[in-house]
Amino acid sequence: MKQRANITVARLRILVLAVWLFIVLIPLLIVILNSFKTMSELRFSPLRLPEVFQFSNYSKAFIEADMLRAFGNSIWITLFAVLSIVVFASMAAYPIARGNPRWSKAAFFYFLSGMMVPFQLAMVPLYKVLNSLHLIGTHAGVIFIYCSSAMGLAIFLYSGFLKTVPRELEEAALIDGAGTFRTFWSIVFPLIKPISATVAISNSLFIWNDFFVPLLFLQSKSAHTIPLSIYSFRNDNMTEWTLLFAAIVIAALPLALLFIVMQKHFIQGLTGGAIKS
Amino acid sequence: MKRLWINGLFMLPALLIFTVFLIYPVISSFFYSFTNWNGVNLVPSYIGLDNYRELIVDEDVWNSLYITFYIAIMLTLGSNVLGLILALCLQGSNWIQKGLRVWFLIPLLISPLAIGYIWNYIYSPIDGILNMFIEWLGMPGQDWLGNKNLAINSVIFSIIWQNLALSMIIYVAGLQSIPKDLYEASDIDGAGLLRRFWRMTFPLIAPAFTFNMVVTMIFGLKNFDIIFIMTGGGPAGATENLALLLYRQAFTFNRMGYGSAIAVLMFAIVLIISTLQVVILRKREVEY
Amino acid sequence: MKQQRWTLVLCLLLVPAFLLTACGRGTAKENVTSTASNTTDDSTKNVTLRVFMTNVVPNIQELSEKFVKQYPNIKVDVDTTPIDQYDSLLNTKLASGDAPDVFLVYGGKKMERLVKAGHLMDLSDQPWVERLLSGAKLAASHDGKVYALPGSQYVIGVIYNKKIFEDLGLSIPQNWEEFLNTAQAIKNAGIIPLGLGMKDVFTSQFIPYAMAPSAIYRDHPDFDAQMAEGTATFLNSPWKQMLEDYVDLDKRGLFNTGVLGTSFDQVQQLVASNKIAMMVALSPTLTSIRALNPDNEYGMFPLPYVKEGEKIWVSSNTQLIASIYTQTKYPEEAKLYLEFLAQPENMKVLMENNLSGFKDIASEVDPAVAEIEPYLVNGSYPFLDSVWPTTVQPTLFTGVQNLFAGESVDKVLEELDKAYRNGLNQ
Repeated sequence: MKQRANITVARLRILVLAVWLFIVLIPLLIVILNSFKTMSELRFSPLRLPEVFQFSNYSKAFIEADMLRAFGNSIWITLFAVLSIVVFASMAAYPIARGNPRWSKAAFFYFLSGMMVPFQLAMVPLYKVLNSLHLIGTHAGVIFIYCSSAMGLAIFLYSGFLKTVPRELEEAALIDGAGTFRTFWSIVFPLIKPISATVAISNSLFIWNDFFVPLLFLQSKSAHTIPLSIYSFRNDNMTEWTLLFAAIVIAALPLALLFIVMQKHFIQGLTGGAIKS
Repeated sequence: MKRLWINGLFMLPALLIFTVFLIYPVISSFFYSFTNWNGVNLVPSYIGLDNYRELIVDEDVWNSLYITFYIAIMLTLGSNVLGLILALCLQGSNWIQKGLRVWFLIPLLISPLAIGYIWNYIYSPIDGILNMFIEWLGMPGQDWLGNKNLAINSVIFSIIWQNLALSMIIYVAGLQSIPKDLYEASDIDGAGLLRRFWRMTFPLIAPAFTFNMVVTMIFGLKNFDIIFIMTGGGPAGATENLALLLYRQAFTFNRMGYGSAIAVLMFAIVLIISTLQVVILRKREVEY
Repeated sequence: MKQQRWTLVLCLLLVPAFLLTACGRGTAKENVTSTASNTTDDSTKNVTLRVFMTNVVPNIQELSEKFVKQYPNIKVDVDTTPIDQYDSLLNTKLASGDAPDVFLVYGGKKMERLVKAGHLMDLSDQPWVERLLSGAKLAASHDGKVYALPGSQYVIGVIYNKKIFEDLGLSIPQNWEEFLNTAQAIKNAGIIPLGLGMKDVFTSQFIPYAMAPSAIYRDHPDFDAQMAEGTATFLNSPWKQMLEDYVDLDKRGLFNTGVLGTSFDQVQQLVASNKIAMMVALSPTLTSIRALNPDNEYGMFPLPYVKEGEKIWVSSNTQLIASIYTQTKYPEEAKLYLEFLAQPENMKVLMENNLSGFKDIASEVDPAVAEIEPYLVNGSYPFLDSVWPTTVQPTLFTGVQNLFAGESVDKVLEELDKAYRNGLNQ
């Protein structure tokens, strides 16, 4: 009885996995296949193999959308935004986790409210704020926006995690004469690496692929991030889908490679914080 | 006293950035919701609660509310049920399972923009690959994104397609934290598979469950990017959730004041629902 | 103790400073200060002009690069966006008080709105103004002053596949009944008669705009004035019949299936691959469908929304290319840019193969456009979004979508009337 049940379950497992694999694979395959076709070939069938593999689509897409610069912009923005989120959020979470309950609870809820806010609520006034600080069209402006919108969740995760870190080590350091600042950076911060990984990875993913904030706040082509360079292929008269798909592949490639190389850390990072909190 | 000074300094950068770039704009929005600002004139005029009065009777708002909840609930259900099923199939540590877990995560690496374009292409009524497949199976092709009743489900599926693996790996992490001997113990007890799942497995992954439910719900309530690219809220408002309605009112009709009122409504809903969720689910966690 | 507090404060100050230099790094290309140059002569200071347009303005990138070669001290940063988002983004930029130096405007009421808000520079004294044809000049003016550089004239008509018409022995329909019969004949031959890609909402407006001149304005030229007064409404006008006939086309199966879910792109693809015989569109669409399949031959005729024997009026508009922001820091450079674009060899590129708006530029008109040109003599009317308050066009988009999704014509018309009244109050 049990044996038969086990076999059925095993078969079901394989079926489910195969179906989902198929569903995940096909769209990706379409993108890759069609990125090698010419526009007139595209008319015939999405699944047909291209007659000639048009590698020129890739160079065309790369140059037309100025993707090298877009990569530079995306890397710069993502790097600094994530860095500031990790540094500032962990620093802010420290007194919240360790400090006087009255103040820390108030601060905690203050930052938490940021998680609930839909971006649209702040969208228009943000434009005015950035403008008065002369940050429209600058990387710094966009970095500040990402930083502020990620702060709520990041502080939530950090403070939760910090509470589980035993105080003994910090107390020992303080007795030895180290200042709070030193204690935090040399002792506490290394201990919260798992959560830092979670915060860093999830925010990097989001910021790298986000297109709405750059659309509104980064005006010129020279400041384009990767999603915007994909967006630029969308033309109302005639979208060159083949170039668009090539751009999508180019955009996803570095992340995919990074991911495959570091998948264990990726996955651990994404899940570590979730379970503990 | 010195403690306070140090604590303050630690919080200062975060506080500054957060307040200037999030809290201040949000509060401004609250004020704009009481005006009829059209986005172009430099000085808006105060109209009191008129925007809110209009909100209550606006058909589009009620439609959006329905759509917002529908999308959020379906997304949450879909991601969690499917995610859990996939996780149950993939919790082992042999290389096939590890490989598949990695492979399923790839859609997450792609920009929502790209996801929207890809699925637009797949869903095209003529020459779209989905219809080709359906017709090959002998069934009539559909207008996936143009049919009022289908559109919203097509969009939901695309969103799940991209994000499912996230729920999946969180469940996997939760499942992997269950000690093996518990499984053995239940086997000895003679528990059937289903029973074992309900009584043992499911309660033990409560933290993963809480996290997933809360995150997918908030994500579902606020979702904008993919829907915007795929249907722009159409056809005829069939996929227009509050976020999209807000965009249309504020940016297409230039009714920034009214748009801000809608944004306030959205905020209230997200706040109430997530708080409720966290409270209820956390309690459940504690019980176990 | 004191030392560690100082390092803390120092670090806190350094990080934002670092971020702000990132600001400098990111904008090194755009915001170049005029004090950086080593000359005091105004005309050679280094300037970057910000230009913002929709992504359908032909060859604007190449032209801008050509401009930079001629004026090396003026850099041009061209940003384009899809039509559907253009208005929203432009309004956001204007609302913040920091708009691009040069941007595209739509004519009529849309331009009027911007003029009244004080955003557009008066260009009446510019050298190219006297070279404009009177119709083009009128389209670019408000209250007698010129506020924009016009380009070519666009026409909305039925683009048709000549070979299909030949093979089926079809002639150009001269009235609505003939049009329906022609379409039916095409359908019977197994080809899709009319293409419509309403997933891109802007395509929904073409047929009503093409119907209106013949249905309304030929016999009632003061209809718009009456609407502004409130003595005429959408509901109690030929609009009711127009919309009923519009959706009737779908009911008869004369459109491609799944109109609401098909994109404009797709329709063009299908026209190019001979699967769709006709599409009601703007004349510049000819350029893109020809690019998709250069072997096809196309013609164009005005939508014959008339009874037998009646005259057909054409829907035609002068397209505006650009205006200058009143608060631009570089007015002289912006004017130079527009002047450059108005040069005959550059304007020809912008006009592509459409009808010219300039006295001294004879455009090489696309053969299909040449076919429809004679009809303009009978009479024409601008695209309706230029005569309506700005709230009506978006309502028309959703209204037509609703119509095709089953909504009643009356309800849609009521919404249009409501939007019109709201717009008057803005």
